[in-house]
Amino acid sequence: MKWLILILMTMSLNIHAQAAKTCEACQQIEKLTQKYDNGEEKKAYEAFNSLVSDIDLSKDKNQRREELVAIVKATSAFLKSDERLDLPQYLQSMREVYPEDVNYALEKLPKDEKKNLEEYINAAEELKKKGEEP
Amino acid sequence: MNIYFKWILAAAMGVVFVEGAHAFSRRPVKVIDYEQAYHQDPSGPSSTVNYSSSGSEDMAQLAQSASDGAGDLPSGSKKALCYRSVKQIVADAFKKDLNCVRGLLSSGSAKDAGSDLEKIGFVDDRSKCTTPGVIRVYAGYKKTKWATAGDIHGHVEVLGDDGNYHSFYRSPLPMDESVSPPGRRVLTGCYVPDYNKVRSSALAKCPVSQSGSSGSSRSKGKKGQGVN
Repeated sequence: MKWLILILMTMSLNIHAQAAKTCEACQQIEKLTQKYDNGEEKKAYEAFNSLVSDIDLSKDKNQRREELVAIVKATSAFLKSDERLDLPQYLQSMREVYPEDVNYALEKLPKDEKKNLEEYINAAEELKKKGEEP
Repeated sequence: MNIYFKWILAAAMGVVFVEGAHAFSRRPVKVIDYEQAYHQDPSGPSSTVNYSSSGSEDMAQLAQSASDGAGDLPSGSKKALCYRSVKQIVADAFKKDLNCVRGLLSSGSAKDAGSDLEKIGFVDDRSKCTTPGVIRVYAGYKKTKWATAGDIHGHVEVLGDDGNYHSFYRSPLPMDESVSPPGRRVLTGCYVPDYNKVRSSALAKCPVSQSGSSGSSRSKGKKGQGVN
């Protein structure tokens, strides 16, 4: 019985460790956020923009949510460098495919940041679907 | 120490030898000659363009309006409205009512701006793509997994006399050089006003903008003759 518990505990730890390891995007985003905070704003923003524009989100729901939480948090932080307003538009595209997961990630933001980013995402949706006029 | 001094002296003399006596003088401020810029390469693809001096003044006015911030959207705007900004710049440059201009440039997609502009007397002149005042129109292509509105609707911008490309934001690089990957925005036209065509178009019938404002939030007070 003791052995069984030990094996189960080890397996559980392994699974947990694997999950933590596999969110490579989260680690990359974390590094870019640090770079951004250390004054390399333009470089970090460009790298983040490039990463997010073409990211393959995980097929595993938990992993994907983890990735989206990292993306949403960094997007909110990088927004002031995003003159072309690309970042909320990528999130809007992601929300079309994974609405629940993007909304889950948005919930992890502080209230005012969530409201602000949601407004950008909604504006992007309207622009994409309706164009500029009337 | 003495050796280093000799080397520095020799290098300085070398620079003077190569660049002349002006090597260390202040570089002159670049003055844009709109007349010359507008007239350059008249044998280009659209040599039927009316290269009158007033045409170059229209270009200068567009370039100045762009640089002055006529295209600035209201603060707090969360949409990437490039074509709206360009409409504001056109209205300001020709001193026309913004709503009227928006009615004439009525497409919802920036990529369709070219056909709109032709209706008000602009012509596509590829020899003027880097002349201040030119309106550059781009098609958008989805080259990344996650798309932006620009990938669908394209982009439009005005080259200002400050050397920046103006739309809802300003950039020292044109859009096709500032987005990645390459080919995401493709230049489809470089539109310049044809003096006679503009003045015989529906734009001329638009009412003059009231109180010198065409709808943008910036301050005014510059020269210009508008279109009557």
